[in-house]
Amino acid sequence: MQRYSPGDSPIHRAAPGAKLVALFAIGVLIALLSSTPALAALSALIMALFLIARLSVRDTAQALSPVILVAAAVFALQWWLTGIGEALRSVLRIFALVLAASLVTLTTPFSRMIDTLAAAAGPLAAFGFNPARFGLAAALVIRFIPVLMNDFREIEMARAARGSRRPALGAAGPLIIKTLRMTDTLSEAILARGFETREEAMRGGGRSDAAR
Amino acid sequence: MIEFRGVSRSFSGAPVLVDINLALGERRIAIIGGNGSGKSTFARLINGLIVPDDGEVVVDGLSTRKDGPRVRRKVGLVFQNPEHQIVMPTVEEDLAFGPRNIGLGAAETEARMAQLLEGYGLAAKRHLPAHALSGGEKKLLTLLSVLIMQPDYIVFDEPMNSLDLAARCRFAATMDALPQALITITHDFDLVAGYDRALLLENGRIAADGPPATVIAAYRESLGLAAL
Repeated sequence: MQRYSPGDSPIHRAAPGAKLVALFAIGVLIALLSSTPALAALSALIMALFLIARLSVRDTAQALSPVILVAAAVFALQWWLTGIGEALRSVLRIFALVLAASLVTLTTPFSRMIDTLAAAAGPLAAFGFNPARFGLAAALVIRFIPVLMNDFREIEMARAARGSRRPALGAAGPLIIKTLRMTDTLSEAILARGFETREEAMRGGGRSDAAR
Repeated sequence: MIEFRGVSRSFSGAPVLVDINLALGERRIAIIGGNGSGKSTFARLINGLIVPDDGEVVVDGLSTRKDGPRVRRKVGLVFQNPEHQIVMPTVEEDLAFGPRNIGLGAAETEARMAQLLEGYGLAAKRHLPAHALSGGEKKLLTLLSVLIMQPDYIVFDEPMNSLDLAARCRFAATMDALPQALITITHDFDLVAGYDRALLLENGRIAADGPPATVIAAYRESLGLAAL
């Protein structure tokens, strides 16, 4: 996911919900379009939106860089299987979708995104589902991917230092145990920072069960 | 004023704290003791993350059992490992997490955030992912995430753990300058040498209570390290 790039463009100011709906619509359009010029025009339009959002060429390149290898592999496979036309369309689809998704994440603070997702999940509160927890879970996934990757590397190095030659999967057990221990402290930290107040507000009142 | 009134707490049937009676009113209080002596439980009891099995913890007249959320707004807790306290992906969003939880307005949140980031030298890192910060900066971020809630008391659980020498010195100076009342759980005796009061916890009881020098001497003696 691309990091938020602060700004004051019309795209930055647009409601996150509207951007997510637009992203969904673009996704559908990309799936439906079967003409190369149309897909190229759509990709160009999305790149024009990058200009309107006053995002740099570096931001655009960074948005595409994670998928370049995948796109190259898809291009080669499609060319071999179906010809150059379909290969080109496949790559345009990938680039257009990644650019559109990156445009949303580059112009929307993550906290506003999860607020929108939590608000969208609001009707589920009637079925006992807490929207605040939904938003928090999304944030935690993004936050802890690098933390867990770092923990994994540390465990792997510790195993290698002790002569382990087993594959990386062997680190999974210690990593799970470490993660479970971390979640205890993390849940305390979340509570200590007032999350129960927010939860109660989104649930629409009732007594907090935090002080149990 | 933080009061422990006949507080006992067990985990899985094993007593961790036993009949603690205390009134904590000093600006700087150190809690020392060996591993498993009940220090972390003590810290969590103060802001109501756990409540006593018996007795009561009262913060400025508020019971942690009945007024947990209000107590937690008065008492901030800086955890041992910053990785486990930073909740949101970026510096700015993590700072805003607490204020958003309690419904603080965007303008007030922004004003507090800007003041803290400028004041503590993290303004340039505002939009960075939390994982891109150094260990000292992560520790500072956890402190700022507490300060933005404007608590009256701050509890530090082993604040110097995993900090290098430079970061330790900087963080100690930062702690020293805080206007809030501090309760610091630590093995770092230099950090708390100038504190107003120290408590020694042993086997879930207060084994010594007084000026840091006296309490640290009692701790060393109890370990047979008085001559070291």
